Amino acid sequence: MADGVPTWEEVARDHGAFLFSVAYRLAGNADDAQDLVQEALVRVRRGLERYEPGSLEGWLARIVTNVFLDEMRRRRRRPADALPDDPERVLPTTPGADEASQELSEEIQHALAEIPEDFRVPVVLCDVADQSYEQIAVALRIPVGTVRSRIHRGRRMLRAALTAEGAA
Amino acid sequence: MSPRRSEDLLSAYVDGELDTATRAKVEARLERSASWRAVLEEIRAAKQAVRDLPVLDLPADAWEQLLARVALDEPVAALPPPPPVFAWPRTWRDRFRDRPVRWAGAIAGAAAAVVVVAALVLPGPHEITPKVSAFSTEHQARTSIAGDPVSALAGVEMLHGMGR
Repeated sequence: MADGVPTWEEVARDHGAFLFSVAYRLAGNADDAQDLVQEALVRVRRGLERYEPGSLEGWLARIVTNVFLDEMRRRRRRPADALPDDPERVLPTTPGADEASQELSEEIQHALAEIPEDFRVPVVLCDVADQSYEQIAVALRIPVGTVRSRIHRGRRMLRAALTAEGAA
Repeated sequence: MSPRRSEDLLSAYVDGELDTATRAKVEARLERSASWRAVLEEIRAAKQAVRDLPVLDLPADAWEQLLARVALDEPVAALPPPPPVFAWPRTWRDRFRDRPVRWAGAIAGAAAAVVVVAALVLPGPHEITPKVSAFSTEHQARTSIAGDPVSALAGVEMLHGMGR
């Protein structure tokens, strides 16, 4: 690390789990999340010269979010590339988690994945990536008032889904 | 503000995204509204559920795949700079589009220069019109001196170079 700027290998090693977690909550499955992380780290590697020391995880969250949004736009243009609805898709296991908490996590993840993208992305950026409303507004190019509204509606949808599943 | 939009404030309240005055208004309303308190609890529970989701480890094969992906990207960055090649100049349209004011001045200057040169080089109206009066006077002078109109005309021809 020079002048507070890490190498991309250090970013991958120290923040890979953070990137994967954000990517997984956005994409809803491990395969896509892994692809998002790879593309995000390639962009990190290309853009490290422009990184100004500050909130590294905030910067990483914006990059992986942009990768995710680019991928969503690409899939909308080419619907044949849309993800198949695969019921056999397996959630990644959490190290040290018991069966009950693993099951609860899966239910929350499932409910989160059910929320429309417009509402899910701001919720994930706020509650998983710890981004402020201002940062989310910049990342998604929407007004702060819209961020506030979408986060609120997203949480209400999530709560309704969890209640329906009996998870909360 | 509509009830629905004002309810949005509850998420902002939970996230610490309100200014002091708005926060005080929300707290005042929470004290007197049971329905707002119920929504607030839902919002807090939903936020906590997502926050409690565990951090996930990268799959075991992720590092290898990442290195392979970066290796694909590597040659692009590692390639030596290409040798200089002849490049066609940009089109005049591009040049004009980039600096329209400068080009307009150049065109106006060139037009003015053409006008000036044309005025100097091209013959004026007095030079084009035949000098009939001068020719006539000279002819009369010669014929009156020689008394021979034919030889006088020959002299005029020689004088004006018209005999060829």
